[in-house]
Amino acid sequence: MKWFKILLSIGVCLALITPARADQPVMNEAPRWAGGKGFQIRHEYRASDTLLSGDDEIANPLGKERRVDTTWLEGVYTWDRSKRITIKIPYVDKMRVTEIGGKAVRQHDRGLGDIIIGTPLRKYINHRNWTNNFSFTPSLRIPSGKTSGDYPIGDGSTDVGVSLSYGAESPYYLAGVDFFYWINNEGTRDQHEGNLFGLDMTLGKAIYHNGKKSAGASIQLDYGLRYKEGGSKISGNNAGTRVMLGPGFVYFQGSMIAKIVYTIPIYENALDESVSFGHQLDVGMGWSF
Amino acid sequence: MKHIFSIFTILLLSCTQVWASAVQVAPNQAKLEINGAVCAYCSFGMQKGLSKMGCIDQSQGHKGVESDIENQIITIHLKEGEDVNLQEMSKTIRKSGYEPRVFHMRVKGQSVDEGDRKFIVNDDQEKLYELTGDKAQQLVQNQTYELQLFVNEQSIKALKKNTIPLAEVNTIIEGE
Repeated sequence: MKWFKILLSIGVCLALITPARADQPVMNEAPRWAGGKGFQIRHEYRASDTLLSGDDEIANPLGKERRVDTTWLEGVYTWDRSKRITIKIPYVDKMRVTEIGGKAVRQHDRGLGDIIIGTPLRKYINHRNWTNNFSFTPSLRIPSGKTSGDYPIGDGSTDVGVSLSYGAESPYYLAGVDFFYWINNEGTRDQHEGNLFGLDMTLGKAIYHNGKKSAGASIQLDYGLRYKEGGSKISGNNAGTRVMLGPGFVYFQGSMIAKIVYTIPIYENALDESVSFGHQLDVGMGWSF
Repeated sequence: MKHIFSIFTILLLSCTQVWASAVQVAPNQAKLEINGAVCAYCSFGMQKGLSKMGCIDQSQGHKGVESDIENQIITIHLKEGEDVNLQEMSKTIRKSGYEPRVFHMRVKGQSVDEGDRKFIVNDDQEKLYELTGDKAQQLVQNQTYELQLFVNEQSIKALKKNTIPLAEVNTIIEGE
Protein backbone atom coordinates (compact mmCIF):
# COMPACT_ATOMS: atom_id res chain seq x y z
CA MET A 1 0.00 0.00 0.00
CA LYS A 2 2.91 2.28 0.82
CA TRP A 3 4.42 1.58 -2.60
CA PHE A 4 1.08 2.23 -4.21
CA LYS A 5 0.90 5.66 -2.55
CA ILE A 6 4.49 6.48 -3.58
CA LEU A 7 3.85 5.46 -7.18
CA LEU A 8 0.57 7.37 -7.24
CA SER A 9 2.35 10.51 -6.01
CA ILE A 10 5.16 10.15 -8.57
CA GLY A 11 2.67 9.60 -11.37
CA VAL A 12 0.49 12.55 -10.48
CA CYS A 13 3.51 14.85 -10.01
CA LEU A 14 4.96 13.84 -13.39
CA ALA A 15 1.64 14.37 -15.05
CA LEU A 16 1.23 17.79 -13.49
CA ILE A 17 4.69 19.15 -14.18
CA THR A 18 4.87 17.94 -17.74
CA PRO A 19 2.06 18.47 -20.16
CA ALA A 20 0.37 13.88 -21.04
CA ARG A 21 -0.95 10.85 -22.80
CA ALA A 22 -0.84 7.13 -22.32
CA ASP A 23 -1.97 4.17 -24.37
CA GLN A 24 -2.73 4.27 -28.08
CA PRO A 25 -3.99 7.62 -29.36
CA VAL A 26 -6.94 6.48 -31.46
CA MET A 27 -8.45 4.81 -28.43
CA ASN A 28 -7.37 7.51 -26.07
CA GLU A 29 -7.36 11.00 -27.59
CA ALA A 30 -9.43 10.69 -30.75
CA PRO A 31 -12.15 10.78 -31.76
CA ARG A 32 -12.96 13.53 -29.33
CA TRP A 33 -15.96 14.81 -31.28
CA ALA A 34 -19.60 13.80 -30.77
CA GLY A 35 -20.54 10.90 -33.05
CA GLY A 36 -16.87 10.18 -33.84
CA LYS A 37 -15.71 6.68 -34.73
CA GLY A 38 -12.26 5.19 -34.91
CA PHE A 39 -10.47 1.91 -35.36
CA GLN A 40 -6.92 0.74 -35.28
CA ILE A 41 -4.89 -2.32 -36.00
CA ARG A 42 -2.09 -2.90 -33.57
CA HIS A 43 0.51 -5.62 -33.38
CA GLU A 44 2.43 -6.55 -30.25
CA TYR A 45 5.46 -8.78 -30.48
CA ARG A 46 7.38 -9.97 -27.47
CA ALA A 47 9.90 -12.72 -27.04
CA SER A 48 12.49 -13.90 -24.55
CA ASP A 49 14.76 -16.85 -23.79
CA THR A 50 16.01 -15.43 -20.50
CA LEU A 51 15.14 -17.51 -17.48
CA LEU A 52 14.49 -15.70 -14.21
CA SER A 53 14.29 -16.73 -10.58
CA GLY A 54 13.27 -13.71 -8.55
CA ASP A 55 15.25 -10.87 -10.09
CA ASP A 56 18.22 -13.11 -10.96
CA GLU A 57 18.92 -14.42 -14.41
CA ILE A 58 19.64 -18.13 -14.12
CA ALA A 59 21.06 -20.80 -16.41
CA ASN A 60 18.68 -22.09 -19.04
CA PRO A 61 20.09 -25.49 -20.10
CA LEU A 62 16.80 -26.67 -21.65
CA GLY A 63 16.52 -23.54 -23.76
CA LYS A 64 13.15 -22.40 -22.36
CA GLU A 65 11.71 -19.53 -24.31
CA ARG A 66 8.48 -17.74 -25.13
CA ARG A 67 7.17 -15.71 -28.06
CA VAL A 68 3.77 -14.01 -28.17
CA ASP A 69 2.38 -12.18 -31.20
CA THR A 70 -0.92 -10.44 -30.61
CA THR A 71 -2.77 -8.53 -33.30
CA TRP A 72 -5.45 -6.25 -31.94
CA LEU A 73 -8.39 -4.88 -33.87
CA GLU A 74 -9.69 -2.01 -31.80
CA GLY A 75 -12.68 0.23 -32.27
CA VAL A 76 -14.09 3.26 -30.50
CA TYR A 77 -17.32 5.25 -30.64
CA THR A 78 -17.72 8.66 -28.99
CA TRP A 79 -21.20 9.83 -27.97
CA ASP A 80 -19.77 13.09 -26.78
CA ARG A 81 -16.32 13.89 -25.47
CA SER A 82 -17.18 12.64 -21.99
CA LYS A 83 -18.61 9.23 -22.98
CA ARG A 84 -17.12 6.54 -25.22
CA ILE A 85 -17.21 2.82 -25.75
CA THR A 86 -14.22 0.80 -26.90
CA ILE A 87 -13.82 -2.76 -28.05
CA LYS A 88 -10.50 -4.59 -28.38
CA ILE A 89 -10.38 -7.90 -30.23
CA PRO A 90 -7.10 -9.82 -30.02
CA TYR A 91 -5.79 -12.56 -32.28
CA VAL A 92 -3.00 -14.41 -30.48
CA ASP A 93 -0.22 -16.55 -31.93
CA LYS A 94 2.12 -17.87 -29.26
CA MET A 95 4.86 -20.39 -28.78
CA ARG A 96 6.90 -21.57 -25.84
CA VAL A 97 9.55 -24.11 -25.03
CA THR A 98 8.83 -25.50 -21.58
CA GLU A 99 9.95 -28.39 -19.43
CA ILE A 100 7.89 -31.58 -19.19
CA GLY A 101 9.41 -34.61 -17.47
CA GLY A 102 12.88 -33.08 -17.61
CA LYS A 103 12.72 -32.55 -21.34
CA ALA A 104 12.25 -29.42 -23.43
CA VAL A 105 8.87 -29.44 -25.17
CA ARG A 106 7.74 -26.93 -27.77
CA GLN A 107 4.10 -25.84 -27.53
CA HIS A 108 2.25 -23.57 -29.88
CA ASP A 109 -1.27 -22.25 -30.37
CA ARG A 110 -3.11 -19.49 -32.09
CA GLY A 111 -6.63 -18.11 -32.19
CA LEU A 112 -9.05 -15.45 -31.03
CA GLY A 113 -8.19 -14.11 -27.57
CA ASP A 114 -10.38 -12.60 -24.86
CA ILE A 115 -12.32 -9.56 -26.09
CA ILE A 116 -12.18 -6.42 -23.93
CA ILE A 117 -14.98 -3.87 -23.77
CA GLY A 118 -14.37 -0.54 -22.03
CA THR A 119 -16.45 2.55 -21.35
CA PRO A 120 -14.12 5.52 -20.81
CA LEU A 121 -15.75 8.42 -18.98
CA ARG A 122 -13.68 11.53 -19.40
CA LYS A 123 -13.61 15.11 -18.18
CA TYR A 124 -11.75 17.52 -20.45
CA ILE A 125 -10.54 20.90 -19.30
CA ASN A 126 -9.35 23.18 -22.09
CA HIS A 127 -7.03 26.07 -21.32
CA ARG A 128 -5.67 28.83 -23.51
CA ASN A 129 -2.60 26.89 -24.69
CA TRP A 130 -2.96 23.47 -23.16
CA THR A 131 -5.59 20.88 -22.50
CA ASN A 132 -5.92 18.18 -19.87
CA ASN A 133 -8.32 15.42 -18.97
CA PHE A 134 -9.22 12.94 -16.26
CA SER A 135 -10.64 9.52 -17.11
CA PHE A 136 -12.33 6.66 -15.35
CA THR A 137 -12.67 3.49 -17.40
CA PRO A 138 -14.45 0.36 -16.25
CA SER A 139 -13.68 -2.64 -18.51
CA LEU A 140 -14.92 -6.17 -19.00
CA ARG A 141 -12.90 -9.03 -20.47
CA ILE A 142 -15.07 -11.67 -22.12
CA PRO A 143 -13.77 -15.26 -22.23
CA SER A 144 -13.78 -15.60 -26.01
CA GLY A 145 -10.32 -17.18 -26.21
CA LYS A 146 -10.13 -20.96 -26.46
CA THR A 147 -9.16 -22.78 -23.29
CA SER A 148 -8.28 -26.17 -24.77
CA GLY A 149 -4.80 -27.43 -25.60
CA ASP A 150 -1.55 -27.51 -23.67
CA TYR A 151 -0.85 -23.81 -24.22
CA PRO A 152 -4.34 -22.27 -24.18
CA ILE A 153 -5.06 -18.76 -25.45
CA GLY A 154 -7.57 -17.88 -22.72
CA ASP A 155 -8.32 -19.08 -19.22
CA GLY A 156 -12.10 -19.05 -19.60
CA SER A 157 -12.86 -16.42 -16.97
CA THR A 158 -14.83 -13.18 -17.19
CA ASP A 159 -12.63 -10.47 -15.74
CA VAL A 160 -13.25 -6.89 -14.70
CA GLY A 161 -10.85 -3.99 -14.77
CA VAL A 162 -10.81 -0.37 -13.81
CA SER A 163 -8.50 2.42 -14.90
CA LEU A 164 -7.88 5.94 -13.66
CA SER A 165 -5.89 8.21 -15.91
CA TYR A 166 -4.78 11.76 -16.38
CA GLY A 167 -3.43 13.34 -19.53
CA ALA A 168 -2.24 16.80 -20.49
CA GLU A 169 -0.92 18.27 -23.69
CA SER A 170 0.54 21.53 -24.94
CA PRO A 171 1.68 22.29 -28.50
CA TYR A 172 5.16 21.15 -27.51
CA TYR A 173 4.85 18.47 -24.84
CA LEU A 174 2.49 15.73 -23.80
CA ALA A 175 2.32 13.46 -20.80
CA GLY A 176 -0.04 10.84 -19.50
CA VAL A 177 -0.41 8.56 -16.54
CA ASP A 178 -2.74 5.61 -16.24
CA PHE A 179 -3.33 3.36 -13.23
CA PHE A 180 -5.30 0.18 -13.75
CA TYR A 181 -6.30 -2.92 -11.88
CA TRP A 182 -7.66 -6.16 -13.34
CA ILE A 183 -9.49 -8.67 -11.20
CA ASN A 184 -8.84 -11.97 -12.91
CA ASN A 185 -11.38 -14.55 -11.90
CA GLU A 186 -11.03 -18.32 -11.88
CA GLY A 187 -11.66 -19.89 -15.24
CA THR A 188 -11.90 -23.38 -16.66
CA ARG A 189 -9.50 -26.27 -15.92
CA ASP A 190 -8.65 -24.65 -12.56
CA GLN A 191 -6.89 -21.84 -14.35
CA HIS A 192 -6.60 -18.69 -12.29
CA GLU A 193 -4.54 -15.83 -13.57
CA GLY A 194 -3.42 -13.52 -10.78
CA ASN A 195 -4.87 -10.03 -10.38
CA LEU A 196 -2.86 -7.35 -12.15
CA PHE A 197 -1.93 -3.83 -11.13
CA GLY A 198 -0.42 -1.56 -13.78
CA LEU A 199 0.92 1.95 -14.15
CA ASP A 200 1.68 3.41 -17.57
CA MET A 201 3.31 6.75 -18.16
CA THR A 202 4.12 8.57 -21.37
CA LEU A 203 6.19 11.68 -21.84
CA GLY A 204 6.37 13.14 -25.31
CA LYS A 205 7.77 16.01 -27.31
CA ALA A 206 6.20 17.27 -30.51
CA ILE A 207 8.85 17.47 -33.24
CA TYR A 208 6.89 18.33 -36.38
CA HIS A 209 3.68 20.04 -37.31
CA ASN A 210 2.26 21.05 -40.66
CA GLY A 211 -1.05 22.86 -40.34
CA LYS A 212 -1.71 22.91 -44.09
CA LYS A 213 -1.47 19.10 -44.35
CA SER A 214 -2.93 18.56 -40.87
CA ALA A 215 0.11 16.42 -40.10
CA GLY A 216 2.45 16.09 -37.14
CA ALA A 217 4.90 13.86 -35.32
CA SER A 218 6.15 13.37 -31.79
CA ILE A 219 8.73 11.30 -29.98
CA GLN A 220 7.79 9.65 -26.71
CA LEU A 221 9.18 7.78 -23.77
CA ASP A 222 6.88 5.04 -22.50
CA TYR A 223 7.14 3.60 -19.01
CA GLY A 224 5.14 0.66 -17.72
CA LEU A 225 5.01 -0.99 -14.31
CA ARG A 226 3.16 -4.26 -13.70
CA TYR A 227 2.59 -6.26 -10.59
CA LYS A 228 0.83 -9.54 -11.10
CA GLU A 229 -0.21 -11.85 -8.30
CA GLY A 230 0.61 -15.53 -8.46
CA GLY A 231 -1.92 -17.74 -10.19
CA SER A 232 -2.35 -21.19 -11.65
CA LYS A 233 -2.62 -20.56 -15.35
CA ILE A 234 -1.58 -23.54 -17.48
CA SER A 235 0.08 -21.24 -19.94
CA GLY A 236 2.17 -19.43 -17.32
CA ASN A 237 1.25 -15.97 -16.16
CA ASN A 238 4.43 -13.91 -15.64
CA ALA A 239 3.59 -13.35 -11.95
CA GLY A 240 5.75 -10.81 -10.20
CA THR A 241 6.91 -7.29 -10.86
CA ARG A 242 8.29 -5.81 -14.03
CA VAL A 243 9.19 -2.35 -15.22
CA MET A 244 9.34 -1.63 -18.94
CA LEU A 245 10.84 1.44 -20.57
CA GLY A 246 11.37 2.45 -24.14
CA PRO A 247 11.03 5.02 -26.90
CA GLY A 248 8.06 5.62 -29.14
CA PHE A 249 7.30 7.57 -32.29
CA VAL A 250 3.93 8.90 -33.43
CA TYR A 251 3.03 10.28 -36.85
CA PHE A 252 -0.36 11.50 -38.04
CA GLN A 253 -1.76 12.96 -41.19
CA GLY A 254 -5.42 13.84 -41.69
CA SER A 255 -7.50 11.02 -40.21
CA MET A 256 -4.60 8.54 -39.99
CA ILE A 257 -2.31 8.04 -37.01
CA ALA A 258 0.53 5.55 -36.53
CA LYS A 259 2.54 4.69 -33.45
CA ILE A 260 5.55 2.49 -32.84
CA VAL A 261 6.95 1.72 -29.38
CA TYR A 262 9.82 -0.52 -28.36
CA THR A 263 10.17 -1.32 -24.67
CA ILE A 264 12.61 -3.42 -22.73
CA PRO A 265 12.30 -4.77 -19.19
CA ILE A 266 14.59 -2.69 -17.00
CA TYR A 267 13.56 -4.56 -13.85
CA GLU A 268 11.88 -7.92 -13.37
CA ASN A 269 11.22 -9.94 -10.26
CA ALA A 270 9.49 -13.23 -11.04
CA LEU A 271 7.44 -14.83 -8.27
CA ASP A 272 8.27 -18.27 -9.65
CA GLU A 273 11.02 -19.44 -11.95
CA SER A 274 9.86 -18.20 -15.33
CA VAL A 275 10.92 -16.89 -18.70
CA SER A 276 11.35 -13.10 -18.75
CA PHE A 277 8.52 -11.02 -20.21
CA GLY A 278 11.01 -9.96 -22.85
CA HIS A 279 11.43 -7.04 -25.18
CA GLN A 280 8.24 -5.78 -26.72
CA LEU A 281 7.60 -4.12 -30.06
CA ASP A 282 4.23 -2.45 -30.51
CA VAL A 283 3.18 -1.11 -33.90
CA GLY A 284 -0.23 0.41 -34.52
CA MET A 285 -2.07 2.33 -37.18
CA GLY A 286 -5.52 3.83 -36.81
CA TRP A 287 -8.10 6.02 -38.47
CA SER A 288 -10.87 8.16 -37.06
CA PHE A 289 -13.97 9.45 -38.80
CA MET B 1 -5.37 42.86 -2.07
CA LYS B 2 -8.40 44.14 -3.95
CA HIS B 3 -6.17 46.64 -5.81
CA ILE B 4 -3.65 43.97 -6.75
CA PHE B 5 -6.47 41.84 -8.14
CA SER B 6 -7.83 44.81 -10.12
CA ILE B 7 -4.39 45.65 -11.55
CA PHE B 8 -3.85 42.01 -12.47
CA THR B 9 -7.25 41.86 -14.20
CA ILE B 10 -6.57 45.06 -16.15
CA LEU B 11 -3.15 43.74 -17.22
CA LEU B 12 -4.70 40.46 -18.29
CA LEU B 13 -7.42 42.21 -20.30
CA SER B 14 -4.81 44.50 -21.88
CA CYS B 15 -2.80 41.47 -22.96
CA THR B 16 -5.94 39.96 -24.51
CA GLN B 17 -6.55 43.19 -26.41
CA VAL B 18 -2.95 43.34 -27.66
CA TRP B 19 -3.15 39.69 -28.73
CA ALA B 20 -6.49 40.21 -30.45
CA SER B 21 -5.17 43.17 -32.41
CA ALA B 22 -2.08 41.16 -33.41
CA VAL B 23 -4.12 38.57 -35.31
CA GLN B 24 -4.28 39.54 -38.97
CA VAL B 25 -6.97 38.15 -41.22
CA ALA B 26 -6.41 37.95 -44.99
CA PRO B 27 -9.27 38.46 -47.46
CA ASN B 28 -11.67 35.50 -47.67
CA GLN B 29 -10.45 34.13 -44.36
CA ALA B 30 -11.58 33.93 -40.78
CA LYS B 31 -9.44 32.98 -37.81
CA LEU B 32 -10.70 31.19 -34.74
CA GLU B 33 -8.86 31.09 -31.44
CA ILE B 34 -9.80 27.84 -29.72
CA ASN B 35 -9.06 26.84 -26.14
CA GLY B 36 -7.12 23.57 -25.96
CA ALA B 37 -6.59 23.10 -29.72
CA VAL B 38 -2.98 22.06 -29.18
CA CYS B 39 -3.02 18.73 -31.03
CA ALA B 40 -3.95 18.73 -34.69
CA TYR B 41 -5.01 15.06 -34.66
CA CYS B 42 -7.31 15.53 -31.66
CA SER B 43 -8.84 18.59 -33.28
CA PHE B 44 -9.33 16.73 -36.57
CA GLY B 45 -13.07 16.38 -35.84
CA MET B 46 -13.37 20.14 -35.46
CA GLN B 47 -11.59 20.70 -38.76
CA LYS B 48 -13.83 18.09 -40.39
CA GLY B 49 -16.97 19.75 -39.01
CA LEU B 50 -15.87 23.24 -40.05
CA SER B 51 -14.90 22.11 -43.55
CA LYS B 52 -18.49 20.89 -44.10
CA MET B 53 -19.92 24.38 -43.62
CA GLY B 54 -21.34 25.89 -46.79
CA CYS B 55 -19.18 29.02 -46.65
CA ILE B 56 -15.86 27.08 -46.73
CA ASP B 57 -13.61 26.99 -49.80
CA GLN B 58 -12.36 23.41 -49.61
CA SER B 59 -9.74 23.98 -52.33
CA GLN B 60 -7.56 25.95 -49.87
CA GLY B 61 -5.50 24.53 -46.96
CA HIS B 62 -6.59 21.11 -45.73
CA LYS B 63 -10.17 20.99 -47.05
CA GLY B 64 -10.55 24.69 -46.38
CA VAL B 65 -9.11 24.60 -42.86
CA GLU B 66 -5.60 25.09 -41.43
CA SER B 67 -4.47 24.62 -37.85
CA ASP B 68 -1.80 26.58 -36.03
CA ILE B 69 -1.49 24.56 -32.84
CA GLU B 70 1.28 26.75 -31.42
CA ASN B 71 -1.16 29.66 -31.17
CA GLN B 72 -4.36 27.53 -31.04
CA ILE B 73 -5.67 29.33 -34.12
CA ILE B 74 -7.75 27.64 -36.81
CA THR B 75 -7.80 29.49 -40.12
CA ILE B 76 -10.77 28.87 -42.36
CA HIS B 77 -10.81 29.76 -46.05
CA LEU B 78 -14.07 31.29 -47.19
CA LYS B 79 -15.66 31.28 -50.59
CA GLU B 80 -15.51 34.69 -52.27
CA GLY B 81 -18.08 37.01 -50.73
CA GLU B 82 -19.29 34.50 -48.13
CA ASP B 83 -19.84 35.56 -44.53
CA VAL B 84 -19.37 33.24 -41.60
CA ASN B 85 -22.28 31.99 -39.54
CA LEU B 86 -20.94 32.43 -36.02
CA GLN B 87 -23.73 30.48 -34.35
CA GLU B 88 -23.18 27.45 -36.57
CA MET B 89 -19.42 27.70 -36.20
CA SER B 90 -19.59 27.95 -32.40
CA LYS B 91 -21.89 24.91 -32.26
CA THR B 92 -19.56 22.87 -34.48
CA ILE B 93 -16.54 23.69 -32.31
CA ARG B 94 -18.32 22.80 -29.06
CA LYS B 95 -19.61 19.54 -30.54
CA SER B 96 -16.07 18.58 -31.42
CA GLY B 97 -14.91 18.95 -27.82
CA TYR B 98 -13.43 22.45 -27.71
CA GLU B 99 -14.42 25.92 -26.58
CA PRO B 100 -14.13 28.88 -28.95
CA ARG B 101 -12.33 31.89 -27.44
CA VAL B 102 -12.19 34.60 -30.12
CA PHE B 103 -13.43 34.78 -33.72
CA HIS B 104 -11.62 37.14 -36.10
CA MET B 105 -13.13 38.00 -39.45
CA ARG B 106 -13.26 40.61 -42.20
CA VAL B 107 -16.54 42.14 -43.17
CA LYS B 108 -17.65 44.63 -45.81
CA GLY B 109 -20.73 46.76 -45.34
CA GLN B 110 -22.31 50.04 -44.50
CA SER B 111 -22.07 51.67 -41.10
CA VAL B 112 -25.47 52.43 -39.57
CA ASP B 113 -26.15 54.29 -36.32
CA GLU B 114 -29.17 53.59 -34.14
CA GLY B 115 -29.01 55.96 -31.20
CA ASP B 116 -25.76 55.16 -29.41
CA ARG B 117 -25.44 51.81 -31.11
CA LYS B 118 -23.48 51.18 -34.30
CA PHE B 119 -24.10 48.36 -36.76
CA ILE B 120 -22.63 47.19 -40.02
CA VAL B 121 -25.21 46.12 -42.59
CA ASN B 122 -24.94 44.27 -45.90
CA ASP B 123 -26.34 45.31 -49.31
CA ASP B 124 -29.79 44.02 -48.25
CA GLN B 125 -29.62 46.26 -45.16
CA GLU B 126 -29.42 43.18 -42.91
CA LYS B 127 -27.56 43.85 -39.69
CA LEU B 128 -24.41 41.71 -39.63
CA TYR B 129 -22.73 42.87 -36.41
CA GLU B 130 -23.24 45.39 -33.66
CA LEU B 131 -19.93 47.23 -33.40
CA THR B 132 -18.08 48.18 -30.24
CA GLY B 133 -14.71 49.65 -29.30
CA ASP B 134 -12.97 52.99 -29.85
CA LYS B 135 -12.51 52.38 -33.56
CA ALA B 136 -16.24 51.84 -34.04
CA GLN B 137 -16.77 55.45 -32.94
CA GLN B 138 -14.66 56.61 -35.92
CA LEU B 139 -17.10 55.10 -38.42
CA VAL B 140 -19.30 57.56 -40.26
CA GLN B 141 -23.02 56.89 -40.75
CA ASN B 142 -23.96 55.39 -44.15
CA GLN B 143 -20.35 55.02 -45.32
CA THR B 144 -19.11 51.70 -46.68
CA TYR B 145 -16.18 50.05 -44.93
CA GLU B 146 -14.10 46.92 -44.90
CA LEU B 147 -13.36 46.09 -41.27
CA GLN B 148 -11.47 43.48 -39.34
CA LEU B 149 -13.56 42.52 -36.34
CA PHE B 150 -13.25 40.16 -33.44
CA VAL B 151 -15.94 38.56 -31.33
CA ASN B 152 -14.76 37.74 -27.80
CA GLU B 153 -15.62 34.81 -25.55
CA GLN B 154 -18.48 36.54 -23.72
CA SER B 155 -20.13 37.55 -26.99
CA ILE B 156 -19.65 34.03 -28.39
CA LYS B 157 -21.34 32.59 -25.28
CA ALA B 158 -24.21 35.03 -25.72
CA LEU B 159 -24.76 33.98 -29.34
CA LYS B 160 -28.24 32.70 -29.95
CA LYS B 161 -30.21 32.02 -33.10
CA ASN B 162 -31.12 35.27 -34.88
CA THR B 163 -29.19 37.47 -32.45
CA ILE B 164 -26.81 40.03 -33.89
CA PRO B 165 -23.27 39.31 -32.69
CA LEU B 166 -21.44 41.98 -30.76
CA ALA B 167 -18.05 42.54 -32.41
CA GLU B 168 -15.18 44.86 -31.63
CA VAL B 169 -13.56 46.75 -34.49
CA ASN B 170 -9.90 45.76 -34.66
CA THR B 171 -8.85 47.53 -37.88
CA ILE B 172 -10.56 49.82 -40.36
CA ILE B 173 -9.07 48.30 -43.51
CA GLU B 174 -10.83 50.48 -46.02
CA GLY B 175 -13.42 53.21 -45.94
CA GLU B 176 -15.14 54.91 -48.88
